Amino acid sequence: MAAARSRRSWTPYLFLAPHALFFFAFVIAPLFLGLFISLHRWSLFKGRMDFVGFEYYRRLFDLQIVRTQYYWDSVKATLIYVVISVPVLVVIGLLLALMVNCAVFGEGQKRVLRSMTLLPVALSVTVVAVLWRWLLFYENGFVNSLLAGVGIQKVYWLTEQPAAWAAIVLAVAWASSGWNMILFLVGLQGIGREIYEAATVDGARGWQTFWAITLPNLKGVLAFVLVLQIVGSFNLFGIPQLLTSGGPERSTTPVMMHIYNEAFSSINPRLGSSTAQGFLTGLIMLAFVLLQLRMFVRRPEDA
Amino acid sequence: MSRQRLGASLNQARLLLVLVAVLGALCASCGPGPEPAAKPVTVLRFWNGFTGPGTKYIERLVKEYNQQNEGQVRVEMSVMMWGDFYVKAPLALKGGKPPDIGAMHVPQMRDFAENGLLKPLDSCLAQFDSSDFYQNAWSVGQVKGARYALPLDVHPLVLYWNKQIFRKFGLDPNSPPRTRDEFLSIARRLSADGMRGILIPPNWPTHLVYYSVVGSNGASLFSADSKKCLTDSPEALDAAQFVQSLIEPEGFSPRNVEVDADSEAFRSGKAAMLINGIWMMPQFEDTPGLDFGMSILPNLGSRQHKVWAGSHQMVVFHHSRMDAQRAQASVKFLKFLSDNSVEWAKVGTIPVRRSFYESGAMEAVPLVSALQKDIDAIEFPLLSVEEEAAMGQVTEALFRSLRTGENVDSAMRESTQKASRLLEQERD
Repeated sequence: MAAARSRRSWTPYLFLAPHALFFFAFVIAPLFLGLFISLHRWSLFKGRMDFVGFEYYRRLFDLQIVRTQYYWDSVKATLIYVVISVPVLVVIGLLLALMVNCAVFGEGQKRVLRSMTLLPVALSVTVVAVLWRWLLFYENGFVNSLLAGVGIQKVYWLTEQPAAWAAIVLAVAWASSGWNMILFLVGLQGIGREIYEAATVDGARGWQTFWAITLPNLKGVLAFVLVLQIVGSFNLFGIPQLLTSGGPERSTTPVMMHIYNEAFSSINPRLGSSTAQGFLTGLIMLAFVLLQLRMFVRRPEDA
Repeated sequence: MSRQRLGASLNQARLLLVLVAVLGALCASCGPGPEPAAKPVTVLRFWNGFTGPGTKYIERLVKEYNQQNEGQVRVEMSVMMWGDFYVKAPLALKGGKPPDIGAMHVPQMRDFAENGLLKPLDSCLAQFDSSDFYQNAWSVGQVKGARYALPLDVHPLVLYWNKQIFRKFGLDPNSPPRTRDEFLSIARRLSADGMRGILIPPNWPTHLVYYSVVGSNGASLFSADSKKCLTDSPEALDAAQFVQSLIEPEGFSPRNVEVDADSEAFRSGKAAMLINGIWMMPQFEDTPGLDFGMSILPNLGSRQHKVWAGSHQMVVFHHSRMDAQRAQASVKFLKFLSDNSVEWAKVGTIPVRRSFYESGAMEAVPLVSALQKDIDAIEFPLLSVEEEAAMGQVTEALFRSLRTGENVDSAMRESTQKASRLLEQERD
């Protein structure tokens, strides 16, 4: 019995080992290395590391420091983006999934629709950003000529607020709602036919079916999509970098872009302070995710 | 590789002789070196950020040099984005395959030099005649009493004008504006019938125009001890007001022009003039039907003419295997690049050797050759890392007031305070 138990306790770890190896090498080790760096003033030029303790963390709460203001400005910009983008991206994903799953279409048509909505996901961020930049140019962009064509005033999509946020959400939605669509689609296909049939027998129609059956049954998937989407939105970087260069005046500089700039845009990289900012941002994101897990995951247990 | 080896085996004896002679000569001119003939081929790694139209020119020069020095020296070039270069180089210098030679911009070059990442070249350049170089480009290579760089070129802000549009509006296509008043009156003439005189983006490169006007007003961005930001001086405020006046009340440009939309409009004949870097020249030359002129940015201030410019400075890196012989071989290649930089002008840069202009060699690139008379106006703002960060505040405020029409005076005063504070905080 004892031998069997000890064998049983080793086997799963052997299966886990390959993943654990990579997890330690590329997640856990860098995490601790990052913590180590954030406690030092590290000059790459001089090749010297001076221990400064939690100085860089302390500075992040001293609002007299201009760089601290930059950091919190970027956190604020990120939160604005999360608040705008998450509902938009989740709803678009859901609508696309409903469309692709619609009984009106045959199997072949569904497959074509699925590929169409998923195709932009395969494009790199650079391609997406450059494409939308061309489309959104003020003077000769396609979107503005379309607007002018129907008599609406042209919009400064890339250099004025709130249009710049709209432009970024638009580009991200186009490029990435395919992911959410696929997840919702899996959820939709998991809902049994018989539930819908029962509802039809009871006289439920259209929206009633959606609210009473589809949505409650998607709850688990919805929670999952929301968590992923919020984390994804927090990680915004490439699109504003290439679309608006973080402008006008840093207003679309999300925190990830700010941390990168803090580390690498100056001649002498500021690795200590940028890693400290990375850790603080990580904690903020963790708080958000925990809050969500409380809201969505506990509830079914309570019920 | 195999061709080289074949060549070497055919002419081994002769090659060895040449090698000994060359290395001997090198050692004689650069102090004692290691025993010659120990290494048959010296491989020099040359890093730079000449992406874009420059790549093919620099590749051609490197190839030519490698052919001339076959069997002795081989230059291996890596072209990367400037931003990557400046982050990678300090790390690579500690690693196993460090770069030996580089081309860098002035602020980075000086920063690398101050941090001991560059090799002082004084001993290798002992008999070198520097009088052929333009003084302003040559002198920035001197950091704390030692020489670290040879200048390859300068690339200032220039004024482009569309000659066809000038003719259409009854202006002389061969006399661009030289002063602020001339500039304003010409831009006014050109802002009619749906034509834009000039577009001013609240973004790149308008801060460089602002720096140039501040300089031409006789003012500085920072105090000499680098403790205070001085962009609230009357001269600096005048520069900011001037830039804003081009948008309002003059109305040459709408408030909100995107980056690159200014050069795009110039290229397509929707704007008559453009202020941008000289490096845009090849693009405009390749645009069919665009007949344009180019001059150094006119004096838009009230004092001595100053124009912002960058410069590519060629350096030798300091690393554990950089001995006297390798340094000498590196410098020889740098001299070769400098001697052959007439062609380099076609990329949209100004070569900095007087003899090119005097000998008529520069006539091959007439647009650049015509800029020679103004080379002395060129100035490099030698901002330190801290000053660069502080200027970020000021340019942000300038761009905001250009974009929103907010009072530029108060915006600049406020941001100057903030910049001075940032300067103080950056130091600790």
